Amino acid sequence: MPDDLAEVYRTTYHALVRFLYRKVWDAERAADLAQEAFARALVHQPANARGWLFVVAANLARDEGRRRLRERRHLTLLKAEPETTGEHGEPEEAIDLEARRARVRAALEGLTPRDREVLLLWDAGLPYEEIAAQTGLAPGAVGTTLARARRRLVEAYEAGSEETHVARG
Amino acid sequence: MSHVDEGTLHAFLDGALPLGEHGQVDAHLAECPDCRQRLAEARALIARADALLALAQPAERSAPPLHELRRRPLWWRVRWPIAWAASVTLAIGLGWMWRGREARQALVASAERDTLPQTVAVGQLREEPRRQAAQERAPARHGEAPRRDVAVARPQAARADSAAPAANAASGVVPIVTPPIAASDRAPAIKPAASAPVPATVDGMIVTGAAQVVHRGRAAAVMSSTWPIIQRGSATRLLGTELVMIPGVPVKDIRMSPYADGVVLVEQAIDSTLVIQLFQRRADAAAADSGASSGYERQLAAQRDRVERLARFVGPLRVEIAGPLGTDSLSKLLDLVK
Repeated sequence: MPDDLAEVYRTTYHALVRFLYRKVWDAERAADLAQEAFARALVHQPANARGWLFVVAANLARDEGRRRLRERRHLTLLKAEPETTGEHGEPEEAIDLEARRARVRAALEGLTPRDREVLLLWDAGLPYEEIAAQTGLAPGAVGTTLARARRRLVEAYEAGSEETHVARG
Repeated sequence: MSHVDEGTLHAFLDGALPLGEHGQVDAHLAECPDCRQRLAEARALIARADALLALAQPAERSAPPLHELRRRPLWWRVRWPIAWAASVTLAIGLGWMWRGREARQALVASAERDTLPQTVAVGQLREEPRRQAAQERAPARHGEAPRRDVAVARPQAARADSAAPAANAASGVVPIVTPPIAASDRAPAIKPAASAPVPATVDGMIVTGAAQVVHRGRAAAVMSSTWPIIQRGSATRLLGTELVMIPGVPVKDIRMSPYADGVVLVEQAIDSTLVIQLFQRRADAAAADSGASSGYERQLAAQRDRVERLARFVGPLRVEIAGPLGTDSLSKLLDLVK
């Protein structure tokens, strides 16, 4: 039903972009992939559009990840680049925000794939039943998995910031 | 009820427990300070995790209207190798069709790259490739690419034609001269060599006409898949000025040269199979290293894909446009930039 899809688009698009962003870490690319997922939904008209979209998005992100892996050596070039511009005086908070974002990213990437997936799907607004359906968990296990994922995320983030402080000191 | 485990507490706080169970937990919490303490901890943990996740999200930008996604075939962005393969297949098919209709005799002897009488020319190639001339260029460079295509005088047919990474287009920035075709209703119009300036080899075929530039190759000038995708902000910083792009044409990717030569590439999609590339770098940088020494130009020269290229100065940038279109079309596109 196109109307349903339009509604899903309205309510879910940003959540899907966010979900994808935390997998590909590139805002443009995340938006591209989200639009791609919806374009496919327009063709396939899946019954449970929202769940379907997240499955497709996760697959797209995984393909993207493989491609990125191949390009990793080029990305090291990129990393060098913002640092040089940083010297020209980016605002302190911007750098700080960037550093914190990088730590969140590292913490997220340190989670097990299942923990991460459950956390990201929950944050994207999917209910426990749908998370269970997508990840193959028993519905009763979603809470436990989420609890663990949250704790590990926070712990990893805090460990990361301690490291930074040690490195700075 | 016994103590509530952590998972259940999270589910409770997430509002994900079935009604009955929710009531039981509620009742237990009312009489168990330990569990209330742990509930408070769980609540704090959830808030903390949510706050961390909130740090890691892109700036929210408005979504394009849904119907636009329908109109724009997006799938190729991700799957464009498939599009590529499909267009090669299509091209081979079309090539044979044309041959069947227009070059029946040639069809008979078509096993190897013979000189097709009906071939229509490719304008005039640049000085250097011309000198290297026919024979040594004949061997196929791209294994499975269809090299038997027939050049057709009509641009539409040409567009539908193959994605064969074709022959020896100029590797420099000299615009290719494209004398207009003598219009004929019956395609392909064949212009004998009367006005043909120089015989040139195209993918092993001798072409002598002076008709309109014809493109089988939809190949990008530079195979950009090895060029890392960057964000617009990074590109702007790299160039020190705003990016040049053709207004109104969807941007497929922004990439940077892997050669550390300061070249930024904007790829814009005219349609699902037609990508225009805009190479740009600071004009002063471009002047500093004289042309061909730049990494991407070497890459271009090495690949010799047949696309047209035009270079121009736009503001502080030297912009080179490349794509499987005639130079006049490219020129018009480049005009839009200003």
